[in-house]
Amino acid sequence: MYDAPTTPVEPGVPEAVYPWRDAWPRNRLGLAPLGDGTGSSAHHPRFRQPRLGTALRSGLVETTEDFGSQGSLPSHPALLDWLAQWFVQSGWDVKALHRLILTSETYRQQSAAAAALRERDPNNELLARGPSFRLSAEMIRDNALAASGLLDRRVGGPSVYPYQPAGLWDELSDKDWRYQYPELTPENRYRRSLYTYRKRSAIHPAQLIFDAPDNSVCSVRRPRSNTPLQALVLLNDPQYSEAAAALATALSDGRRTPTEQLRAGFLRLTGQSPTEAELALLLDYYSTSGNLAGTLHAVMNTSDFYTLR
Amino acid sequence: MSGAPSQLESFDYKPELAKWHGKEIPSSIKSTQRNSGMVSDQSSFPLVQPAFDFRQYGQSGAWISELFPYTAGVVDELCIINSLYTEAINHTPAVSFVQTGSQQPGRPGIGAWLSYGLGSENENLPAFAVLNSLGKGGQPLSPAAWGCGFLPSQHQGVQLRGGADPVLYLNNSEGVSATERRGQLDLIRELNEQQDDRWNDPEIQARIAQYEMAFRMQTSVPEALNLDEEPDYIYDLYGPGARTPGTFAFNCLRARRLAERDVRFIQLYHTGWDHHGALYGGMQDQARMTDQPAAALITDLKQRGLLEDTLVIWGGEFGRTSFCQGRLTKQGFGRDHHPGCFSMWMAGAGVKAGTVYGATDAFGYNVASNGVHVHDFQATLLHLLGIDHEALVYKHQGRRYRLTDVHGEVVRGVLA
Repeated sequence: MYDAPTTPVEPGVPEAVYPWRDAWPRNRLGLAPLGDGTGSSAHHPRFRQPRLGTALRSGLVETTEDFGSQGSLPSHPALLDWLAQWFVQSGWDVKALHRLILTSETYRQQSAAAAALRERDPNNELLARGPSFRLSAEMIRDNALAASGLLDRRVGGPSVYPYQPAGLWDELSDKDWRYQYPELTPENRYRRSLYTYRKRSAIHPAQLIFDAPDNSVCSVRRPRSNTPLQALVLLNDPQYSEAAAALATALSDGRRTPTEQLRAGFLRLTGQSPTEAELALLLDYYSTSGNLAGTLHAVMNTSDFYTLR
Repeated sequence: MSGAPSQLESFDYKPELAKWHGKEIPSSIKSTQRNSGMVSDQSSFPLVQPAFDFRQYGQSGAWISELFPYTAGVVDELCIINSLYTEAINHTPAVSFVQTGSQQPGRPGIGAWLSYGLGSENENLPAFAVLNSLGKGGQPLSPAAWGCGFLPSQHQGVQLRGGADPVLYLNNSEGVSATERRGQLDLIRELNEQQDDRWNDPEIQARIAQYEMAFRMQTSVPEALNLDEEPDYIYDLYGPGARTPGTFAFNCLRARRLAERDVRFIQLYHTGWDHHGALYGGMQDQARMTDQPAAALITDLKQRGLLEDTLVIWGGEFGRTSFCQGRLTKQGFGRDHHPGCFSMWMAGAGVKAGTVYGATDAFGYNVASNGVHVHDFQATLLHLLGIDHEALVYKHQGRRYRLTDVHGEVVRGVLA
């Protein structure tokens, strides 16, 4: 029981797994010498792995959080080993590692795939096609802000309080000392989602709906669910209609034809040009409704906006 | 019943305490339980007799306090468990323990497990709905208790709020008409279909379906929660609060409508049971707000033929001490947190109706027979819903997790 401790317990590694030297600190720093290029490389993939996970949807070991006996086996053990050695020889250069991965032919493949290939390898474990996955909660919001030109790129500073449905925290407690969600101020409206205040017991609902963990415990890998509530956020959270309106205003400079506006807007939102068929649909809606912001808002609700291709 | 209702003023009748009223609890008894820090500076721990009269009701002859006359009226539908015990002594970890099987936040709640394990029977409504009584004061609620933990987010509890926006982001943004939105949704579908042709990604088809469901939810949620069509006799059944949004009665009536529409798990929170002092008046207020609606829910489900496959559970996160907290006066006395024993009741699907299970000692301080640990209770709950609690697992960060962690025994004695 916590208030009646008995034997003191300290961190350590079982002798049979790895004999610990007394000089090493009993924490992760103590593990670092294993990565000096002389020992086994088995430990550094662990650090590298989430990097690759970010880029390729899942790492070469699917269970990014578990390299132990309960985890999945690596899909490409030789590649994993090679990357680990490369990483150590680069002097643990994380940026260089990102560059290596993101400029590789494997990463730059098309994510489109024939039905037969999808059937053989539904989870793309063999990396015969490019990665494709829904962006994270933070990325989706940041993408909308960046595409519309609203994103505030300042680095650092205290957390901020962007749009959140009114009264949410007040429903949890009516004590006068409760922590209240501060009023929205213009200077913190469009900061990167990284800076959104995280109340541990009540994180921002739009982030929660897109699978952000609640920060109570360490989380290495997030689920990527697909739910109607996510559709409702993209449709009705004022963050997105505002971004669409800002983008529409930016494109309405009097110099662009409707087709040019839509091409440019689609490109900004999805990173690619619309196909002729997509353009026809967009033009049709825009000319009937006269609502450029509404048209662009619809694009924010299509898979090319929130999916990495 | 968040805050921990006193078992000694509700369902666990301890007449012996009358003889001990005002006398010190024997140290041999008191030392068997951990007490909270809130009574650590008390030099005296006098026992307090039940503040209200008890009578026996129904075929089971269950003892119920005079504060719960409506619940007493449906006692033959209930299985009252008087021998629950828990490991947590403060509210947030204790609520989390009951809801998620762990005192620390981060695990899925019962409703999330059920959504994951059993799926949804009504795709136009959330599988796990949460209804909170408003303006109740007491201990704040933590949404982590209805979170999905490490399960995908579709399993998280969706709070159905009072007022015009019952689900967050449900209403079209200001200035967007329904016609406009339908047109936009058609455009979204057509664009998604184009993208599906190009990428051949099964995820896109799923997205198209989710958008249609989101659109249907915009109608189905307000419809499910719209009490306007309820007749007067139903309002009368649930009691005077039933017409006021945010009351427990209002939420019980909403809960019945959700149950009718096959929502898998409906959680109601009613805070304000944390009677460290002024228990005498406080319990009366709380019982007045909750007794009639809770009993009405049983009656209403039964008259619709729904009780046989709906499990209804009433309870808090721990019990309260049989000794006094604060000064022992009728109006002023309180009872402190007590993990050692507390009461709940269950009714409906598969429960042995008209029974009282388990007993505490004469002081109402320790479990005397048939103790039910919170994990046993959770194992039993899952069993009643057709789930083997040891088989419903989810692998996360290297190990398989269960609602009951590595514990729990199904309590056979409460099964029909």
